[in-house]
Amino acid sequence: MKLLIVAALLLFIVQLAGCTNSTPRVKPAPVYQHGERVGGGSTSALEMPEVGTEGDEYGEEPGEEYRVSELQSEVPQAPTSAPVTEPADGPSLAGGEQVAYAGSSGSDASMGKAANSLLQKAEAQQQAGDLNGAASTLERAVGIEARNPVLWNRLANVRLQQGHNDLAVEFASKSSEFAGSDENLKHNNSQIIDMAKAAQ
Amino acid sequence: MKVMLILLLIAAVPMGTYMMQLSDEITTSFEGQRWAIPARVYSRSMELYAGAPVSTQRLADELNYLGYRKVSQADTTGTWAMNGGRFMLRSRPFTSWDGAEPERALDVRISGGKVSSVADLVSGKELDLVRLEPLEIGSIYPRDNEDRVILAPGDIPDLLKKTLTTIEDRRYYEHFGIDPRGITRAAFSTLVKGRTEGGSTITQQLVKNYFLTPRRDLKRKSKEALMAIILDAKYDKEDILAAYANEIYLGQDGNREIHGFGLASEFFFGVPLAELELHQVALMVGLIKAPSTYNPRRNPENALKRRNLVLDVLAQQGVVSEGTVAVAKEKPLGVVDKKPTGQGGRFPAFMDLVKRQLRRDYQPEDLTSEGLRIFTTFDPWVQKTAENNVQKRLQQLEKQKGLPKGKLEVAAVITTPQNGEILAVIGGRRAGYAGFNRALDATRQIGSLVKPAVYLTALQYPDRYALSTILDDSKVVLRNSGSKSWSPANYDHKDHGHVPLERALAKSYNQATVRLGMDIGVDRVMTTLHALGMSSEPDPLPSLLLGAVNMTPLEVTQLYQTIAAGGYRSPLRAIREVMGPDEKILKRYPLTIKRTIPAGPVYLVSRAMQSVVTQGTARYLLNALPSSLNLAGKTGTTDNLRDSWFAGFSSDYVTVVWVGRDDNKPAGLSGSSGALRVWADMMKPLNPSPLDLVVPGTIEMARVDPGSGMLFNPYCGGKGGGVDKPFLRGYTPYQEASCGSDHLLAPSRASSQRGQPGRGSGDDGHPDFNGNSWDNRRYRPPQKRNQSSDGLGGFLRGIFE
Repeated sequence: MKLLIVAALLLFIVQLAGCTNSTPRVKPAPVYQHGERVGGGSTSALEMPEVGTEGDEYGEEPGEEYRVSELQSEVPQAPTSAPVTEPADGPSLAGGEQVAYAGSSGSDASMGKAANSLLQKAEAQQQAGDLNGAASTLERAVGIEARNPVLWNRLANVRLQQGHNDLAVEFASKSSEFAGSDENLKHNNSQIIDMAKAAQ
Repeated sequence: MKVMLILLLIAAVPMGTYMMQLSDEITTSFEGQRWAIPARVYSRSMELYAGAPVSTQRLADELNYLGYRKVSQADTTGTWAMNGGRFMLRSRPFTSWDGAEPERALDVRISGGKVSSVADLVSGKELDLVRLEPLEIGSIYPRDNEDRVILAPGDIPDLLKKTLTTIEDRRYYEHFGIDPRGITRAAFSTLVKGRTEGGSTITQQLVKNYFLTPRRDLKRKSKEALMAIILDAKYDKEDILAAYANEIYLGQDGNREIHGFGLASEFFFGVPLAELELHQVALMVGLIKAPSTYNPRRNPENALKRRNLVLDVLAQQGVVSEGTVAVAKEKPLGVVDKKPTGQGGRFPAFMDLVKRQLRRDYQPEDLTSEGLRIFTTFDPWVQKTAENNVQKRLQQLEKQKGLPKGKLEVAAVITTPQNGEILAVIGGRRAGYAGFNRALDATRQIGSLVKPAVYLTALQYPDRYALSTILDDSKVVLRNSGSKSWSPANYDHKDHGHVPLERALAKSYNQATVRLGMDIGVDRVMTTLHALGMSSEPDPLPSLLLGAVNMTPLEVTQLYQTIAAGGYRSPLRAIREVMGPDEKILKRYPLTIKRTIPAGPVYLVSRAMQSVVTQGTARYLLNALPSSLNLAGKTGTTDNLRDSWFAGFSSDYVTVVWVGRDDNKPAGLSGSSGALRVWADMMKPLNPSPLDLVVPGTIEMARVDPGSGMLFNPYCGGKGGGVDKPFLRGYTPYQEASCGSDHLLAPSRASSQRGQPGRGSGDDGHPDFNGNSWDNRRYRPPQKRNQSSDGLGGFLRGIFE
């Protein structure tokens, strides 16, 4: 009996020596690619508002699911002496893909330190080419100061650089609505809108 | 002897082949992904910065949810101390979707319900912004119900390793997978003493649990031993111990099986493994022998005995000192209350929403096995606060209205207005109960909640309608060929004559609303509803104007989010980021916005919705919450008081509440007497910020005579003065009120200029001049309407007869 165990162990050692380079199980093929929409999960019974998604590669434009408001096109907003979403006059395009940041000196909104620290981070991310990261950081800042026009302006800027022109227009418009008397910022928003529209 | 040897050699060949097979089997499963790693779902992170709307109560609650221990001096990770409005805490390090947050010693000061400063506790340096780790709110585990949190060898505290080996396998670091001495001892005790004693090493236990079926026979036992030897020979002891610590079954939570010490620590003590103390470690290791018998929640006495036995052994073996063990034995079990069971965790209604969104983007097996980390928008404090206040109010309402107990149900959704993040979902009356999720699945008639859409549609025609426009609230009868006539009455069954548009909405007058909606056109109201976020396609019948359309509370929330954001619709989001196990972002769900309704009309209707609170059907809020909040909202009630709704917003929350019965029987509650009360109870402790509507550039103010809606005439006197009202720029009333007349419809400046020289037509954006915008069937010269306040009735007859 003892002998049997010894023999077995011997064989086992021999076998181990032969097997040390046996191939480990190949990991399952990567299921996700960065930003890829995977498979067709079961559709829920819930008629949920479509959620915009994004990844590195934008397969779909965020916001394309929206219906166009008929009324909006049929009935333009009342004329106004100080248009909010339309540039007052056609500003000359800055050229290039990126619009320079607007100075926010004249802004009514003062930014708190928390939002400002995120703004700095986002700018660094944007400069480093991490545009999705910059957008995420700005969204986090918007969670802290939802009505700060500078944050919406920077979101517009990042989206413009990414080629999400529809979204850039929306963010820039929203920024201008919060901008109060900050003409500098409004002008910058107008530039973003013009560039985005030109690129569409 | 020779024969024996030959026989042995003959036997050795198949034996060797068998062992090679076993070795392959082990390699295959041990070097690949060892376990299906369930996805874990997290709340948002609490952000701490000067000015953050975090009260002392809120921060204390958050720390409790996260399992931080309150101590007198916070000097270890995951502890906090409090002194008045000053919190001293040692935060836990964590990695979130946007980077790592280090462990910090924090000094957070709070006053007046807000954070006044955040500083480093040691250096005193002010910090701009810090975050606490998000709360894990659930996991998505596979069909076999095994849930676990994977620990790397380095994640296992030394104390746990020592306790484990001392109790389960004292010679773990010496034996070669099996322990002949242990087997001999076990065999001896079984044969001589007649009691079964385990001789299995930790390696064997791992093999048994991980590779083999739970059968107990000699064949399996030998296979187990062989595999244990192979495993021990091929892999590092620490790696095997970590695998054991991850594999071991330690408890049951409904269908969910609690595997591994990482999850068990959270499950029993509510804290990460690294923070466990000796008595807690001893309790968990004691559980291995019989997780059910020693279940500390169900059998606390057994558990205590077992724990203390483990502690005694540790002392005997010299792992810890007698004195330390004596102290540990005095401690209570330290187990936290059991969280509600089931896949949904503590917050099943929100988890339900998260899972539905995930299911659209991922295959089920990816969610249950790939170790995804899902970061959501969920705010546990908002959720808990809302939940806490619902039950009491419903009981009170049942008592007050003489309703059978327990019949009233509730649903609610709380979101942020500007970015559409869903903070909380209440799916029913029983908090934490994963039943019918009314917030997502109860499609109910929305009643008067539809009215802001009707008025918003009208206000997009500024030549016809402004807040001050006088509407006719007399009885209205609609006849359509082939169907019965329809004559909706007001809630109070009275006619209110001529009422300003703003008041008609504030008081929720049905007759005026139907006349208004029929003038504008039901199809246009439908268009507005779609622009706001309605996804269904109801028939464009006149009854739609009073809310004969079914929606879920979630869908209603989308509609009101668009209004609260000034006309920018943000698809409501529950998920922000999905991160892979390698801490790489796999998918983001970014903030998107789209202007779907022009800003001016949204501003006007929001002002009217503030009037709902100041002078309309939601006046209750003026006393229930500070009137300085300037809240806006709308009540909703359906036929026979079946559904009671309230949708309202501040500058930081959009909240929709439904109250009613599942059997669709009358609940006896109007929007004001039911849902509004629940809404107020929910919102008050959240301390919402005042609603400060942004005035769009398209708005100008004018002083009007409230009775006629015309420009205020200062010379009339004795009439109580005028009121300042916002108008779309260029559409203020042009005529001053004539003294003594207060019932004329107010023509606006623009419509009076119709056809006047110098005014362009067709291209100035004016709806009446734009041939495409206003079909001729509905076109009616404004002059006619001015002549008679019955004009609307005549117009309706024109359509229906």
